Parts: sequence; C-alpha cells; structure tokens
Amino acid sequence: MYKLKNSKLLIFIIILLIGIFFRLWKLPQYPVHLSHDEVSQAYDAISIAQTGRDIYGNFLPTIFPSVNDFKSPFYTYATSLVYFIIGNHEWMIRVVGVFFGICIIPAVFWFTLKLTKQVNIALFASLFTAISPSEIFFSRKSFENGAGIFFLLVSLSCLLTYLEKQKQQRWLYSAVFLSALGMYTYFSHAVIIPLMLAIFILIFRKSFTQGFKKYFPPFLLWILLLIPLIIIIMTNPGSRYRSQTVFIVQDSTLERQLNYAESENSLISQLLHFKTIGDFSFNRYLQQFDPVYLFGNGLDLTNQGPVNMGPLLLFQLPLLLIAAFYLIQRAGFTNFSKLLIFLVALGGLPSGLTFEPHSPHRIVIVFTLLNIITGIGAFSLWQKINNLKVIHKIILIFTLMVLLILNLVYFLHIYFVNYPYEKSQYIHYPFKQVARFAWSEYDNFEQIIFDPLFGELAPVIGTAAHYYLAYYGQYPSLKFQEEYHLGTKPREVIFDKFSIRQVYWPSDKNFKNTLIIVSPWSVPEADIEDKSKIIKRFNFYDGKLAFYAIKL
Amino acid sequence: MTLHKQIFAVVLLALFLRVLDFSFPAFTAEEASIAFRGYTLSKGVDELGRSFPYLFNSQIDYRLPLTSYISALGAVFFGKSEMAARIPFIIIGFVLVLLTYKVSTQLSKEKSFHIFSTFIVAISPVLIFVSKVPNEPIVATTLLLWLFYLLNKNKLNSILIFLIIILLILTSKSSWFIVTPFVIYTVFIYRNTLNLRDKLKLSLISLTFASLAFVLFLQVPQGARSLSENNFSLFSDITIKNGINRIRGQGRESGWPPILGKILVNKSHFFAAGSLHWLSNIQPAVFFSQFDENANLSFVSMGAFPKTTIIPAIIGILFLIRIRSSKLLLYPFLIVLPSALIYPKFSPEVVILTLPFVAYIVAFGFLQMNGIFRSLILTLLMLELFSNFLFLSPQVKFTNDFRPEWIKPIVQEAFNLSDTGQVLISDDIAQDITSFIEWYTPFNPEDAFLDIPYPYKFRQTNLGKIKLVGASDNFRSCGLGENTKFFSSKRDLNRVKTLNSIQVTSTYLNSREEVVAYFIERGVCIN
Repeated sequence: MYKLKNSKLLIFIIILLIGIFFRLWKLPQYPVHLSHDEVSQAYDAISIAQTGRDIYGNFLPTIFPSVNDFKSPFYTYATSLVYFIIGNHEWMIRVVGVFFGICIIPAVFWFTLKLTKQVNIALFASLFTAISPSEIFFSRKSFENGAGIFFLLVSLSCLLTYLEKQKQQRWLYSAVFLSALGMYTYFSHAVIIPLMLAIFILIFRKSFTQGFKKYFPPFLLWILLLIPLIIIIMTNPGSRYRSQTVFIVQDSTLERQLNYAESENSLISQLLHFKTIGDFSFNRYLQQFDPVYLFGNGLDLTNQGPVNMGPLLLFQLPLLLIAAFYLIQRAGFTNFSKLLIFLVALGGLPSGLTFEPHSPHRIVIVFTLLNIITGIGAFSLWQKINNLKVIHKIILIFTLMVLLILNLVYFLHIYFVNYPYEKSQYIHYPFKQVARFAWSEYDNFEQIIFDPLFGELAPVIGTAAHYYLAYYGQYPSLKFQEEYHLGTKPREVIFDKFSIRQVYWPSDKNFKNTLIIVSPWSVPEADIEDKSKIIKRFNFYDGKLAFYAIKL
Repeated sequence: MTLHKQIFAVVLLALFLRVLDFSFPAFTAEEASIAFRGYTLSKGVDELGRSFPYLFNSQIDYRLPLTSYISALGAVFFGKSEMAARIPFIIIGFVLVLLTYKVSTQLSKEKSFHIFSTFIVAISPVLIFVSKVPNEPIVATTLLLWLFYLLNKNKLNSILIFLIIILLILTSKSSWFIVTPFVIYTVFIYRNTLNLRDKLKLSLISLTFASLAFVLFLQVPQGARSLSENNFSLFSDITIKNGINRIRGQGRESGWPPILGKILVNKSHFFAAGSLHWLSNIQPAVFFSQFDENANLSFVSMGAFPKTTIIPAIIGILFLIRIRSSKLLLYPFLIVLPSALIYPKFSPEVVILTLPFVAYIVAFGFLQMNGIFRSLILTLLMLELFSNFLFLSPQVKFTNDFRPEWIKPIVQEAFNLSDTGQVLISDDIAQDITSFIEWYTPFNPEDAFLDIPYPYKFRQTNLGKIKLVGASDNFRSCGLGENTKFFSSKRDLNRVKTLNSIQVTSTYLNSREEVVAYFIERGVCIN
C-alpha cells in the first residue's frame, strides 16, 4: 500500500476541488437548456419513481423506448434515486453524470498510482482529468458513460491491488462486481469492458499466480452477474433495434459503396459486401485518432471550423508525444505501457462500428486514458525541467503554466459563451420556453398544437416534444401514461389537449380556439394573413427566430 | 533462396503489379492532359502551341515541367498511345522500388530488412497506383529517395546531388518547401558525419535553388496567386478569420471584455489549425485504411499500405524509439510539413513522398516479429491486395466521376462526327472533357493552339469543329443548312427540351450504368 505524504494529499485535494469546481459551477445554467436526452430521461425517471413504469406504461423496463432511441436503463434508474432524495429540479438529471464525472478524478488517481506506482504521475493524470474538456463536457451533460468509466477504472485498480497482495480476495471480488456493474451502464461498455478485462488478464497473466481453482469462483460470479444483461441484450427487441439503428451499415457513404460492390455472382457479392463493411469500419476506427478531431474540433462546440474545441486540450498534444517516448524508452515498455496502449486501442472500437463518422460520446474512455497518458508525459517533462538551472526552470514552468491556463480558459470561453450561441438548436433550445408558454395558455384554448419541425439553417424534427411539455407542465406521470396515444395525422402524438404533429396550414388555419406553435419552416410568416394572431415568438439562443405561437 | 533471388522475386512482383491490368486506372482529366501534352511536346510544342515552355497549364494550378517532359519521352518511343502515357511512370515506379532496396542497405545490414522494405514499397497500393498514370508525385518520390540515398553515401557526388535537387524543383511546387529542410535535416542531424563545409555547401545549394524557384515563380503573372491559392491556402481560406471574428463577437455580446477575446481567440488559431492539419495528413488512417477519401490516387478502401502492416509499423516505431534511433521517424513529419499550409485540403501528393520512409519503419517492425506472426500478417496482406486487385469493379464505379473510362466512346463518336459538321458537347458530362477529346481521339493539336503565354487554370472550349457548351451558352433551333450534332448532359437536355422537335437518338451510360450523355442528331444550335 502507498501512504500519501500530506503535501501530495493536499495537492490531490486541490486538484479534486478544481475538478469539482469546473463540473459544478453554474451547473443548472450550463448547458443552457435540457437536451432531448436529458428531458426524456428526467421525466421517465420521475415516472418510474412515481409509478414504477415509464411514460409508455412499461413496468420497470430494461431498455427505455424514450424517443425511439431505446436508451440503456442505468441513467434513468439512477436519476429516479436522485429524484427520491432531492425531489424534482431541472438540474436533477445532471446529478448522476456530474457525480461520476467527479468520481473519475480519484478513480484515475488510484488507477494510475496502482499501475505506475508513481504518485507524481497519478497527480498529473488526475490534474488533466480534472481540467480535460471532454471530462468536463460529458460530466455536465447527463451522460451515463462516465459511470461506466468510473466502474471500469476502479475495477482495474482493484485487480491491480489484488495482484499486489494475492491473499486479499476481496479485491478480486470487488473487481468482479464493479466491472459487471460497469457493463450495465452503457451499451458500448457491455462490449468493451470484457475485452479490456481480457487484455488486462492477458498482459498480467504471469502475476496471477494462484491456481485455476482460486479464480473459478469469481469468474463464475462474474458470469452470473452478467446473465441478466445477456438476457436483456438477447431478448429485448429494443436493444436489437438500437444496435441495428446505430450500426455502421446505416452510413450513407458505406451504403453507396455496398451498392458498387454488388456483383452478378452472389458469392463474390457477399464476399465484397463483408469486405467493404470491414474496410469501412477499420477506416472509421482509425479516423478516431485524427489529431484534428482529438485536439481541434472533436467536441463540435461551434460551427466555426477550426475555431472549435477537441476532447483534449491542444496543450496535451506534445505531452502525449513525450509520454510515448517515455513509455517506450524509459520504462522499457513494461506491462503498464502495454495495458494503456491496448486499452486505448480497444476503447476506440465502438466508434469504429457505428454510423456516425465521429461519436466522441462512445469513446470517452479513450479520452480518459489519454489524460492518464498525458499525466505520464507531464511527469517526464517535469523530471527534465527539474534538472535545469533554477532560472530556466522558473521561466519554463511559468511559460507552460500560462499556455495551459490560456488553453483552459479558451475552452471555458467556448463552452460557456460560444457553445450556446452556436449549438442551441442541438439541445432543442427553446423547447423549454415553448412548453412553459403552452402551459401558461393552457386554460385559454381548447387545443394546443405544436409542430416541432425547426432549425436555424435547415429544418429538422425535434424529438421529445411530448417529454418537454409533460416535464415542464409537471404533468402527473400516471395520467400521462393513460392519456398518451398516437394520433392519425402525420407524426402525431396526443396527450391531454396537446397535439404534437405536422401542421398543415391551409386546413389548420381554420381551427377555432386553438393555439398553434410552429416554426417558419412549417408556416412561413408570409402565409399568416393576420399578423396580430402571432402572440409570442421564441428565439434560438443567438436571437434567430425558432417558433411563433399563433392564436386561432 | 539467396538474398539476390529474393530481391529479384520482389522486384519481379513489383513489375508484375505495375503492369497488371495495364489500362487500369482510367485517366483523370489532369492525367489525360499530361499524356496529351507529352505527345505534343514530342513534336516540339505543348497543347497550346508554345515551343518547349517551362510552365504548363492545369485545371487547378500551373504545372511544373518535368512530368510533362517525361511524358514526352514516352511519346517519342510509343507515339500517342496508352503505352506512351503509362510506361515512363511504370519505369519510374520500378526505379523507386530498386532505390528502396539501395537505401535499405544504407539503413541496416539485416538482409531481411532489405527484402521487407523493398517488398513493402513494391506492394504499396498507392505507389502501384501512381506508377500507372502520368503524375508528379511518383517522380518527386523517386527523386527525393534518390536524394536521400546520395546524401547518405560515403562518398558524396555533389554534381548528381545538385542535379537531383534541380529536377525535384522542376517537378512540383511542394518540393520547393521540402528540399531545403530535407537536406539540412539529413546532413546535420540524420547523418551528421560530414564535415561542416560539406554540410553548409549542400544546405546552401538546396536553399539557393529553392529560393530561386520562388523568386522566378513570383515573376510569372498569377505566380503569387498560384502560391496563395494552392500552397498557402491556410491564409487565403476565410473560415478561420471568420470563425475568430464570430467567436470574439459572441464573447463581447455576452459581456466578456474585448481584450480577453483578443487574448484567447486570435491569429494563433492559424498556427493551431495548420499544425493539426499537418499531423492529420499523416494520421494512421491515411497510411493504413483510406489514403484518399476520393480514391483519386489509391484504392477505395485501402491506405497507402495494406491494413495489417499497421502492426509492424507500430512495432517498428517502438523498436526505433527503444534503440534510440528515432531520427528516421521524423522524415514523414518533415516531408509533410508543407501540407500545414495547404488547409483545409488533404495533400495526397505530399504524403506520397513519405511512403518509402514509412515502408522502412514497417520493415523494421517486421524484423522484430516472430515467424508465425509475420507469416500471418503477410498472408492477410496478400489476401487484401489480391481481393482489391482482382475485383476492380467497385473501384471503377466509385471513381466514375473523375476517372471516367466511359468517356471514350462519347469523345470518339463526337470526333468522328466532327468530320461532317459542328459537334457540341456539354461541358459537364465529365470534368474537363477537352483533355479526354485531345487524348482519346486522333485530334489535331493545331486545332487547339492559342496565344496564351502563361495559362493559369485555363480551360480550352473550342477544339476545331468541336465546341464545348457551358451553362452560360444559349440554345436555339438550327436554321436551314445548319448541321450541328449535340452530345448533351442532363443539365442541357432540360434546357433544349423547349426547342422544337428535339429527339434523343441514343444515350451513353457511365460505369454505374446511369445515363450520362444524350446524343441529339439534329436541331440544336447555340448563339
């Protein structure tokens, strides 16, 4: 066991506090709006807590249909617990994400300490985890992946602790339990955590000195813990639907290539089909390691090309290169180097198999591991700086600190200032304002129609409009389960006096005592003859018109 | 098998892969124009009728002379034929393989290393691809490796080095940026065994020639524009500037002090964007999974090397760093440096220059692997190559738009019909259809001669009795005695439908079996 000196402990606490500050500062205000994922999980969580069913009446679902995206259940159930404890607040949905986002900092510290046996490396690793853009961004956006990463890191740390003192079986069982728990948190973790454990065991195989009989019971327990997950994956149609809809073959470029690969000979056609998917997938996988993506624009917080933000700070780039040299040269490429490289390589797999060119949310684990590797690079640099003359040391440290702070403040500027301006549409801004207004006019109209087709540059159909209306109206979940049904008009869902559907103005304009909320994409302002009927306008965060409410 | 026999087998394989499917890939417009220019130069003038010029026209930039004159050499021997266009570059690609072997003997005494590195270059899909079409990168790559070989020889051959530097500078503008740092790095850091006088001499010579190239080029009309648009687009691209202004503006609107906006979001973004773009050009995906998104210079789903070589590449990097011999690793970074300025486009023509150096890294990796693993990778590698070389149909369909092999019957028919009267062709049937008409038909070059001393991005639209029709041309019904035939694209078909009694006589399909051209025998004229 390592005993931390008071000074190191103090540094770690400061790092942790920095991490907590960046994750909690104005959490209810930023992001400026609950996204469709957040609001749907929040209302489902309330529904589960109040009735044991989701909004569609499914009893304790193992996959949440939500907005036809079939969400994994962990985050919603965890939020139900939060709801029990603190009641309903908008920021309630962010609590679980931010909790695990903070917990990752000590988890990284522990994992790095166990792996490298160097307190300073662990401190640097936790520092970069505390200030990393991807960690801060995903911690604040109600995302379940962080929980999985936390459980994985802790379970690996438990395994490493077990390997130090093989008699203490509790570490082995803790690892078994936590790794299994991690697999329940997110779809991709169900695939990569077992692979990562397998790699760990393979790399450290010589350290597992006890006989097979010793390891069989924990292995059996692990399998037992996973049986429910396997059953969910195998039997739940939602799970299969989700896998199919995000699988790489949904990519339009690949679809085109598959068409080109068709041949008259069916065997050749089939071979070329698999080859094309394999090639495409491998390419997508490798593209996750594009420096522009990692350090330049991977978080996609703006629409301004290279004036954007990557999951990692640009400051980390040279440190990662230094770390690579350190790991290979100084440490002689030991087991911990191998483990880190293989974990990074495995962590990228989910993105290589899914349809989006880049899906940072699927490879957050890679960013966390790169933060750890950055810590190794920083430690190596620190050692070199320590050998310099005092004056050189001061100048260099000062310069590096200034660069790091500038890079960090730049990220904060982009995140807190520009991100809302640039991407408010992507978090369904201003659906909250629309929902609140609709409820404020509830008594004045017989029916309220909301067409969620909206957009700044092009029209998209906003999902989860019924969730926004129900959540911001504090609509009783039991009543919602009873009221909710599909309508007969295009994409219509109905509950209470709300109809969420496509508005067809030539006929809908003849309604009486109706409130219609539409965007100019559905009903251009020029088509509204009596402009005085527009009683409210809703803007995107940057002030551009998103919707107007028309009184009929 | 002895070393020589093994090397011989690899060299034979290289030759075989370069002549296999001789007519594949079909030419792009650019390649067809180089091929045709080679033919006209073999007669003493270029395609515009200029006598032995030193700067040529292309659709995207000025074109430097060496590649065109190499193409002319082919035409001297084989006339206007596919052999003439391809064989000089096949030979150059073949020389690159031989050079790779020679350089490998300088890098290591391990015989397996010589074989592996030569083999990797021999089977590199990109190097095979660029060995089969008229293009600058294969010439520049061969010359750069030759320069590396000469700079690392025990006995310096200064005259040959100067000659290679001059040839490099006459090959492509990218080499103007590369040659000086390449020479300096090699003589001062990589080799570092020469005396200071030789080091300085070589560095100064390369610097002088490169500087001279810039200075002379800037004297050319549109020279500065050409550099700005094609080699310094990082600074001419307005995305970054606009982004900076917008981000700053939003900060001010939110109440952040303007000075903070300036400190955080400023011109340093050009540096950041350029640096990341530079590294992005040599990311693993480029080398091992997809070299070029458009598959212009490679197979659709292949990197510069087969996928499985990523494993020996990683092992090679680890090995070189571990034995503290990582200087070789810096060559790809150094060579690709000019791509930092060519933002936001990917620069395949620059990245190709790094391939022999990456091949050496892969070869070092192969040496570190055990026999079974090595055999497994070699087997998978051959399977991947085999499956790509054997089934070319997806590749042809994917590159349908810019490697239009289907254009031949259209331009040949158009040329035949031009004997009987005027022929109109829509200019959007294919990119720069002029080059295809000139190359694929017995077209008389004199019909396209023009008096333009420095053609920059010039497009020829009048080819004797063949006229290209653009979107700005207006159609009318032909009068009595007017005998005009029209090969129409979909765009123009919609426009001529309004004319009286227009009938499509026949249609032409592209490689994807889509109708790409409509032949209208009579009735369409232009104002």
